[in-house]
Amino acid sequence: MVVRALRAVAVAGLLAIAGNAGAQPPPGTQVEQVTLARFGGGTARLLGEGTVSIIVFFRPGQDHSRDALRMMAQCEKELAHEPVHWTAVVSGSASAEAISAEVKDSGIAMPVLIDKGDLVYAGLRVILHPVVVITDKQGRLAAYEPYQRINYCNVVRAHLAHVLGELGDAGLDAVLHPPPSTQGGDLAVAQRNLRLGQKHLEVKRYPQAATAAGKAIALDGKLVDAHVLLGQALAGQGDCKRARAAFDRALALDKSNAAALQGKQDCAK
Amino acid sequence: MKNQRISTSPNMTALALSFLLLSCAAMLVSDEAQSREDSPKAFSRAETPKSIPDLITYKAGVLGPMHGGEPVSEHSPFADGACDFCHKGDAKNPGALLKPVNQICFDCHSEFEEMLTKRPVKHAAAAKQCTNCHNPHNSRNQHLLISDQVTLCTSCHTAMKTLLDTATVKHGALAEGKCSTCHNPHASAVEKLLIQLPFDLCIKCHSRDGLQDASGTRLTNFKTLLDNNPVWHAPVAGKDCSACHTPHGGKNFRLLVEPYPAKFYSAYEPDNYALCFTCHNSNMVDTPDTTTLTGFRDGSRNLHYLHVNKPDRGRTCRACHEVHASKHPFQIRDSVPFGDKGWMLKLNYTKKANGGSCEKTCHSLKEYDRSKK
Ligand code: HEC
Ligand code: HEC
Ligand code: HEC
Ligand code: HEC
Ligand code: HEC
Ligand code: HEC
Ligand code: HEC
Ligand code: HEC
Repeated sequence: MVVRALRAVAVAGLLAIAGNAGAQPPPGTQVEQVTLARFGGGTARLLGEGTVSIIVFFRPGQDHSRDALRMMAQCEKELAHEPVHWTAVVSGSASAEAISAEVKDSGIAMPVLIDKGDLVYAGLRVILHPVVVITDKQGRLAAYEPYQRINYCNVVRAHLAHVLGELGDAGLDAVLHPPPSTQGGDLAVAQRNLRLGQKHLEVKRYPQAATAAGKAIALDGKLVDAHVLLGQALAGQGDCKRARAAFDRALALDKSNAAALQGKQDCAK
Repeated sequence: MKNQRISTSPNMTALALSFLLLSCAAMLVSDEAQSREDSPKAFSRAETPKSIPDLITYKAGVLGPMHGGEPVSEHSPFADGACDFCHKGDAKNPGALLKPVNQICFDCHSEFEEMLTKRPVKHAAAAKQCTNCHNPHNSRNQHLLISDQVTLCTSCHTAMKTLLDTATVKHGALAEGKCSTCHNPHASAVEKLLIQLPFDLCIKCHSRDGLQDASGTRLTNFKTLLDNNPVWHAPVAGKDCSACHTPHGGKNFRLLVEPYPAKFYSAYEPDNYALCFTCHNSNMVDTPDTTTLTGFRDGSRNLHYLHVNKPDRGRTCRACHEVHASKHPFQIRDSVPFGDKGWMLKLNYTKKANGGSCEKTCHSLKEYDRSKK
């Protein structure tokens, strides 16, 4: 037996009969190093030596496996600079032509290991395809990710960064459960109006600048620069009284705001 | 629901599967590595259009200010008469643009520059030219769009147009014609420019009572389902509803990416169950005797084979399994429909160390025991 995980199960006794556990071994389980026949000749190791390993289990002729291999080929390229040991593992029962076709189609560069007797499969309890397994530098199981149509590589990349300590738990969670990617909203629209008003101010279109500043303030009352802009636009129109009030509102939010202080000073003249 | 939020990481899977299960490793020993290339396929990624026409740079007329008619949206700088923010020359005679379009837009919309730099998935159309979609002056459409969204998006994504036009099973999600319900047309953190993972998007609409399909059948409230049924199927827990459903419409029952029988009984053909076998291995149902391919066996008698693999009235997977989530191990159903009166019979499934049993309300106890010789 090549994978210690399976032994651990056998030892656990509880689950004795015919290793009846579909559940994957828990994270942290040591995966044992093995050397397997490499597709195309020679042998190769399942795990890296002191590096993180990414193992891609696939089945030739299966759509999801093909899709996953294509995604992993891209992923492999993107992560080329990372110290990662990539391998693909295929059942010993797969035919050479079928494997060859998938390797060619996907363009993966990683070695394909042939799992004669499906011992690695048994050890990691891989019962379907495709699955990506990630181990840490010591060869301990870190992640088990079955097929995902969306974001498969992102997920793999995030696990890798997490294992390498470059990404914290919160960071990993943000990739596994990304918050909505949206745009707009009141704050953004306030910013746009502020920019529009500032551009108007630059060319001395004071009324337009004041209107835009007013819109910005209505959407985001705490936008200091919008109060400053309003002050400047009003001052430009000679309305120093209301301009001072606007500068004061800016200073109430940011008491050392240089532009507001300057604006007030200029108005006092 | 909370403790199930983690994706299909080992601990989650362990949780979902924290029940014994056969070492099905040999399931993979697939002799039939035959390709199903010839079988009719739904719209798999392989068929995603690769040939998108060159980005449109609209011909004269399309991007200018509207001539007549009431605009639905109007751009503030245009409304202010500030042609000079974008054009050389004056308002009466605006000339060439001051600089490349996107640079102009970023002057006031800097968050878009940031978005197109920082978010990992960027829309080529937006990175190239905002005016591929927006009229910088005014428009008959919301958000200054140069046309309604479906026309706009499918003007480049022509294969999507074909799909939408030819889908026999349509999806209500598209009824409003807003691609932007699910896609961010600018940039996003999720592949395919999705605003969030498919799951989160699906749940938004599919979490209310009273949603009905085209024939009036009530659809599941997924929030209720997932909250009350802790055993989630791994791809559901992995937030990947689109591993099984094609969101834009398709030709299979229930928008499934591959065929799956629609009824309780069905003749067995691996192709009928292509959906399940896109991930699972059909030999779990094809092999009469096994001690490895499935945990659902009595001794070596494969009970999946026995129940499902029949030339006429084979039971479909739904006779025993929930495909999304259930209360019982292996997503076994709580009850099954009986007769045409809408009665439900409890299955009373119990998992045992070497097998399990079920006891339908009016049918004797049935047991299976893997250790039987
Ligand atoms: C592929 C078409 C497309 C391109 C290209 C595009 N947009 Fe949009 N944009 C849209 C659609 C569709 C919406 C409406 C989104 C919605 O329904 O919420 C939108 C909405 C917006 C909005 C309004 C939402 C908000 O933030 O308040 C702004 C502003 C915007 N786009 C700016 C830009 C800028 C700047 C660019 C260039 C970097 C750009 N767009 C390129 C399609 C596009
Ligand atoms: C926010 C920037 C912006 C503002 C403000 C703006 N334009 Fe434009 N305008 C554009 C862009 C971008 C184009 C497209 C030019 C191109 O792609 O070559 C354009 C094109 C035009 C065209 C030519 C359309 C065509 O069919 O070729 C006219 C006419 C025009 N603008 C008039 C105006 C007038 C008049 C104003 C002021 C009242 C104005 N624009 C304000 C950005 C702007
Ligand atoms: C001078 C500043 C300025 C420039 C330059 C500018 N915008 Fe805007 N844009 C605005 C402001 C301000 C608003 C918000 C108006 C409001 O809703 O109050 C806006 C709103 C928008 C909206 C949202 C409209 C809606 O109804 O939701 C779109 C889309 C948009 N801009 C696209 C563009 C594009 C494309 C360009 C470049 C061709 C551009 N903008 C350049 C200031 C600008
Ligand atoms: C001017 C042409 C054009 C328009 C209009 C356009 N797109 Fe795109 N879109 C592209 C191009 C080019 C790509 C990149 C294709 C690629 O990389 O293969 C793309 C990619 C995409 C992708 C990612 C596809 C993938 O397989 O990863 C999505 C999703 C998308 N667009 C959605 C939209 C939506 C929604 C709209 C309408 C709001 C839209 N597009 C409008 C040109 C366009
Ligand atoms: C914008 C709202 C919306 C979103 C988002 C949405 N749906 Fe729907 N969906 C509907 C509506 C409305 C119906 C009912 C009408 C119909 O049958 O198409 C429906 C029906 C369905 C059906 C049954 C179709 C049939 O006729 O048999 C399936 C399956 C489905 N949705 C899956 C999904 C999946 C998976 C997602 C996420 C990828 C999703 N939906 C996202 C609104 C939505
Ligand atoms: C493993 C494949 C698979 C996954 C993953 C999956 N579904 Fe389904 N879905 C099915 C099948 C099969 C059916 C048909 C069920 C039946 O009729 O027995 C179905 C039916 C549906 C229906 C229509 C029937 C109803 O009761 O409402 C909706 C809506 C739906 N799914 C939404 C979703 C959503 C949302 C997700 C993600 C949370 C999802 N599905 C994930 C396979 C899947
Ligand atoms: C997108 C891939 C995918 C598809 C399609 C799929 N499954 Fe699964 N299924 C999984 C994964 C992943 C597991 C977890 C087993 C593992 O990781 O070893 C699983 C486990 C199961 C289990 C065992 C659950 C347990 O708790 O042990 C059942 C039952 C099941 N699937 C039924 C189905 C049925 C029925 C279908 C077709 C309607 C189907 N599956 C389609 C991926 C899939
Ligand atoms: C007559 C009820 C029944 C039917 C019909 C059925 N199953 Fe099962 N299935 C079970 C039971 C019971 C188990 C739990 C076996 C155990 O105790 O380990 C199971 C387990 C599974 C598992 C977990 C791995 C294994 O084989 O033990 C998968 C995957 C699965 N079923 C898929 C399917 C698919 C796909 C179909 C339809 C083609 C299907 N089942 C039809 C009862 C059924």
